[in-house]
Parts: sequence; structure tokens; C-alpha cells
Amino acid sequence: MEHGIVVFFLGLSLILYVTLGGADFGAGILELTAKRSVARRLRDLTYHAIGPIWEANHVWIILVIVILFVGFPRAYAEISTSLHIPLSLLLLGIIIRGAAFTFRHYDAIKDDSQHWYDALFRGASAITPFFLGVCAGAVLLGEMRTDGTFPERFLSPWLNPFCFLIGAFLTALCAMLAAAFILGEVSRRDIMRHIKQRAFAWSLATVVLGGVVLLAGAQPKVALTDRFLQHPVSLLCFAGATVLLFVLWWAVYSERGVFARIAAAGISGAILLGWFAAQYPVLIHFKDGSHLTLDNAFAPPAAIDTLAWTLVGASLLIVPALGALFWIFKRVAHRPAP
Amino acid sequence: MAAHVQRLWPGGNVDELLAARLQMAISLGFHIVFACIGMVMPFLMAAAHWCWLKTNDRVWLELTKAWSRGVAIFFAVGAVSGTLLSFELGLLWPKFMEHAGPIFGLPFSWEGAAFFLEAIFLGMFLYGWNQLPRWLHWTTGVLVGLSGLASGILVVAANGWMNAPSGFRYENGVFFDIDPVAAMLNDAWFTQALHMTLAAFAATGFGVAGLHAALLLRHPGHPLHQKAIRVALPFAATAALLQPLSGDLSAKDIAERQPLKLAAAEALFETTRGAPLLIGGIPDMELREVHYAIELPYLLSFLAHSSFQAEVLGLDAFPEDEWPPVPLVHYAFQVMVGIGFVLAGLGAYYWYMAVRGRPFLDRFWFLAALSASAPLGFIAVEAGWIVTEVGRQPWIIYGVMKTADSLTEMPGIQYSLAFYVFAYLLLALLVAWLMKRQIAALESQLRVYP
Repeated sequence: MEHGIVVFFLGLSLILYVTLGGADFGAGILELTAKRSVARRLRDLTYHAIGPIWEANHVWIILVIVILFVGFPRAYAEISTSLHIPLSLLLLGIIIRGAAFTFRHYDAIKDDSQHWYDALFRGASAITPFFLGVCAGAVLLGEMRTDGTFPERFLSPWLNPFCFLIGAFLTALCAMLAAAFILGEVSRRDIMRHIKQRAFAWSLATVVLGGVVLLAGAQPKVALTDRFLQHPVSLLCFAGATVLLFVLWWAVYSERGVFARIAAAGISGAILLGWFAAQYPVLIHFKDGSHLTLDNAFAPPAAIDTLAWTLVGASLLIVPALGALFWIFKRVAHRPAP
Repeated sequence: MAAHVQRLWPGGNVDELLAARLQMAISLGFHIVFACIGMVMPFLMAAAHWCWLKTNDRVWLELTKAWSRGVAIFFAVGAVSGTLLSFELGLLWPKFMEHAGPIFGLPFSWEGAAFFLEAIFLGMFLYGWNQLPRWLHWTTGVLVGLSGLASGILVVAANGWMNAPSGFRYENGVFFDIDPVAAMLNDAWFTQALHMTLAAFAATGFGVAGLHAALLLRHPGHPLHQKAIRVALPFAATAALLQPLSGDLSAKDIAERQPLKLAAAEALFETTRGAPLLIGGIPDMELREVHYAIELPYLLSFLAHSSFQAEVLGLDAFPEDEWPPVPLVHYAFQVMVGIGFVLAGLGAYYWYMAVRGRPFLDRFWFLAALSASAPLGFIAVEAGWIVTEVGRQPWIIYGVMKTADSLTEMPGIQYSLAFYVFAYLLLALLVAWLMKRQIAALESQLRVYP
């Protein structure tokens, strides 16, 4: 039972990080890919939409890390050794983005330095989900190993087209999430047209890249696609995400912010859940064919038990507080947006 | 230093280990400044906010808002540098985390929860002006401080376990019979957490009071800066006065548990009865003696074991390959204790004047001393962590696992070090620049007051 609780929270934290943190990253990507005049408007909207919750959205990754090193310490050690380089780049993105977001709002003097904050915020928003995707790709690709030369051990697990493809897929997914999340905040017509167009474009990019991932995952050594198409939960998630995609398109077309949010969050959750199911119970596929799994990489029972009850206890504190935060600010934030 | 490491790790790559230790030290040294401010500043902010709600004097409101902008900036940088640390433990010391994670992970998991709550309450506070009922809004500010305090204490408890490992059995390289609760309540957690909490209050309190004292010297009689000092000083002075007592507890604890660390901090080369306390001095590792130190006879024995004739173990009681780098630990210890007494003196003066109802904010020397003291607390915090962490070397888990044995197999940590130094330097410069602009904006806005 404690085992199940820990696995549940690991999956949940990752889904929430990709969905909520991902939407924050996506907001930066939308600014990065917009014309200068539009980007300025988007920037105000971004702030309006994610301001109060932006710190909280990024705590989920800390939860993922803590659950990994307490509950599955060998997996944490292997990932942080073999993927040292992409993790460092991911961290660079997290630092720059978090700092720049605060600086551009809290700098007491608004002058040319804002351009620098904007540039840092936008660039970092794009590299973070990309390298998160690269690391996810490396875990499932099966090029990781515990010995070998420097390139074999520290480069080839992640420096390859498959991992970069997953990175691009996750980046597109984040941009799609952001467009769908921001939609409900827009009041100006020209910005609304822009956001709708971007929501369609990024959701198409997500679909196309997702299709390429499934094609690339069909090669025998990855075998992602086979597992994905054989597992009933994965198939169900796949079907769910497809239906939700049409809901998203309808919601975007008819400018229904709440439905767009629910549909986009649902798509992101379904994709991750489908991946978890296809991968279950494997945490890391190694090159020699061995696996670290949720069953063999486990910490001793005493650690799992205290971790499980800590997570349950902490949720009892965090869920109501987080609920109150979302409720207060989504309710009062419906003043006219700039 | 390199020679020191070479002795401990024959055959290993010295540069890699040194680079990794330096990167960890820089990351922690950076984060801790923001952690201290993030932990204490909300309480100062809540005190000013309380005065605003009680008196309706707009200066209090201005002060609360100015401080809350500072809290937002420091919290954000503290949050990203803290996120970095949770990864870095694995990036640099994977073998340590692989074994230690399940044992000392309990305080880390609760720390994650406390940090989460802090982020939530901070969101409520910063965006809650004119949105939440006034006193509920005030309460969210206090809750930011309380969850920050909890998260600081929990992280220090995890560090305490590295100094006083407990809650497991260890034989032939295998950890078993683990008990995470016993690990969290290790012998070091209380003294370390108490010392760290007081240090955070003293450093942040004097930092804030000192900053406003410098501004008050530029704008004599300015009500905002006077009020700021009046809020910050009671916190700072009380913490600074209690800190020597907490330091005494810590010294007695270390004398029992990690006598080698105490010997290094005092540069006591020979086991001595009636050992003197050394002030300052330059340890000579060749001759095994300390030059130019002031000796206070019998005092070390008394402070460590409550008896003037007690025997204090010196470095010679331990194999040399288990010694930490003695001069560094000794200098850091001297700096920490010295600053501690300077701040305690300032604190005592403040309480003396305040209790007797005498004005102290018009005394030039006191304001000048306060502004000079602004960085001191943080220097003491850094020095204190050098004593704790470098003083524990060569162990990462005291007496159980060597730091060198837990180093990552990833080569080229020197490049990683350069990369992190660049990132932290950039962040530090940006934050300094931003604070300068906050102050400039505050000053131009304040001309409306007389």
C-alpha cells in the first residue's frame, strides 16, 4: 500500500509539473515566437494569468526529485550520473527563467533592462522543457549504462535524435498548454486572434511531433510504440487525448477559456499517464537490457513507509492551501486584463 | 588544500574532488544567504504590516510594501538556487545520495512540503492586497515566515544527520535496519537548528537595520528608515544576545560528538588538560603550533567540558588522514565567533538604550556602526558553515562514508564548477543591482515625506 502511495505521488507530481510548470514555460515560448508588439501584450497577460501561482507551479519538480532520492535512490543516482550534462542545462533554464520572471516584474525602475529580462525569460522558457524531454527520452530509450567510455556513458544516452525529438515534443506541448491557459484571460480582439492561431498551431505541432515519436518509438530497440499500443491504459489515454484534442479545438474556436484549460490539461495528463502505463514498472531501461524498476530500485520498507505517510500528511496541508490560492486568484483576477 | 586532498585520496583525481567540493560550497554558500533572508524577512514585514493595520500611518504601509518587494526577489532567487541544490546533491555525490537518501530523506520530504506552503502563502500575501480581508492578509504574511522557518529547521536537521549519523546500522559497506525518524532526530539537529535560526535572525536583522541606518545617515530624521530600524533591531539584538549561549551548547555538543572538529576549530594540536582558548593566531602545520594567538588559559577546557582542568582532545588524538584542513576551519571559527561578539555588543547597547527609553537613532556613531554591521552577520553565517562542513571533512557521513568515495564518475567537474561560478556570479550581481534600484526608487518616492 505504501509502495502504491509513493508511486502515485511520483506520477502525480510529474504530471502536475509538466502541466502547470509546463504552461509557465509555454508562456515564455509564446512570447519568444511572437512579434515584438504582441509579445509585450502577452507579457502582461502571462503575469496576470500565472503571477500568484508561478512559484507553486515549480515546486512540483522538487517533489519529483525528493521522491526519487528517498524512494528510488538507485534510479536517482543513475539518472544524475549519466544525464549530468542535460540535467545541468535543464537547471540553467530553471535558474534563469525563475530569476528573470521575478526581475522583470519587481525591478523598481522600468527601463531598457526589461529587454534583457525578457530575452532571458523567453530563451530559458524554451530550453527548460526541451531538456526535460531529452532526459525523459534518455530514460526510456535504453542507451544508459553503468560503465564505458566518456561518450558511451555520458553522451550517447541523450545526445541522439530520439531524445531531441522527445524534447521538441514536450516543448510544443508546453506552448500548446500556455496558449490554452491564457485564452481565458484575453480581452483584446487582436491578441485573441493571435492566441487562437497559436493554440491551433502548437496543438498541431504537438500532434505531428507526437506521431513522429510513435514512429521513432516503433524501432525494435526502443519498443515504446508496441508497449504503448498493447497496454489498455495507454490505449485509453491515447483515445482520451484524441477526443480532448477536438474539445480543445472547439473551445479555442468558440473562445471558451475554461474548457480550453480543462482540455489542454487533460491532454497533457493523458499523454504522461499513457507513457507511465506503457513504461510501468520500468524506471530506466539500460543498454544491456537490464532495468531499474519500481520493484527492484526500491528503498528499504522503513523509508518507503515514512515517505508515503509524509506525502499523505503534507497533501492534507498543501491541497487545501493550494486550492484556496487558485480559488482566490482565479476569482478575483477577472478584472479586465491589460 | 590540494596537498591535503591528495593525502586523503591517494590515486584519485584531486582536481575533480576539489572542484566538486568547491562547487557544493559555492552553491550552499549562495543559497544560504537567500534562505536566511527568506526565512526572517517575512517576520519583519509582518511586524511593519501589523503597525500599519494598528496605526493607519501610511509610512508603515510604504515600508511593508518596500520590504515585500525585497521578499519576492530574495524568495525567487532562493527558490531557484534551492531547486538547483536538490539536483546537485545527485549530480556531484550520487553514491552518497544512493545510500543516504532513504535514511535522511524524511526531513527533506517535510522540507519540500514546508517550502511548498511558503510559496503558496507568499503568492497569497503578494497578490492579496485589497483582495483578502485585512487581518487574513496579514496572517498569510506570518504563515510565509513560519513555513520558511520550518523548512530551514528541517534542512538543518538533514545536515545534522551528516554530522551525527543515526537511525541505521552499517556493516561491510551495507546500510540496514534504517529508521528515518531516528535519523531526523539525530544528536546534532537541535543545537544546529537553534544556532542556525538565531544566526538567520541576527544576520538578516542587522542586515536590514544596517541598510536603513546607512539610508538614515543620508536622509537624517527620515520616518521610514527610523521605523525600519525600530522593527528590525529588536529581532536582531535579541538573536545576537542569545547566540553566544547557543554557541556554547554547540561547542559542548561538538566536544562530545566530533572532538576532532573542535580541535581543528581551535587549532589544538596536542591533547591538553586545562586547555587555553585561542583567539586568532596562524596555525603552522609543519611545526604543529599556533603563532601570534592570544591565549586565555583554561578557558577551552571550561567551555568544552565545564571544568577548568578537563582534558580536551587535540588533533594528535586522531589519525592525520582524518584531519579536516585545520587552518581554514580555524580561521572560519575565529571569524564567526568574533563577529558574534561584535553583534552581541551592538545588541546589548540597543536593549540598554531601548529599555531606558533613551533615543539612539540620532547618534551618528551608532548609525555608522549599524551600517558597517550590515554584511557582518552573513559573513559569520558563511564562516559558521565552513566550520560545520569543512570541519566534517574528509567525511560526507561522519565516520561512515568519505566524501571522496561518493564523488560522481562524471569527469570534468572543473568545467561544471566554472559554469556554476559564472551562473551564481551573474545572479549575485543582478540581485545586487536590483536592490540598488529598489533603494533608488524608494528614495525618489520618499521625497514626498519631509
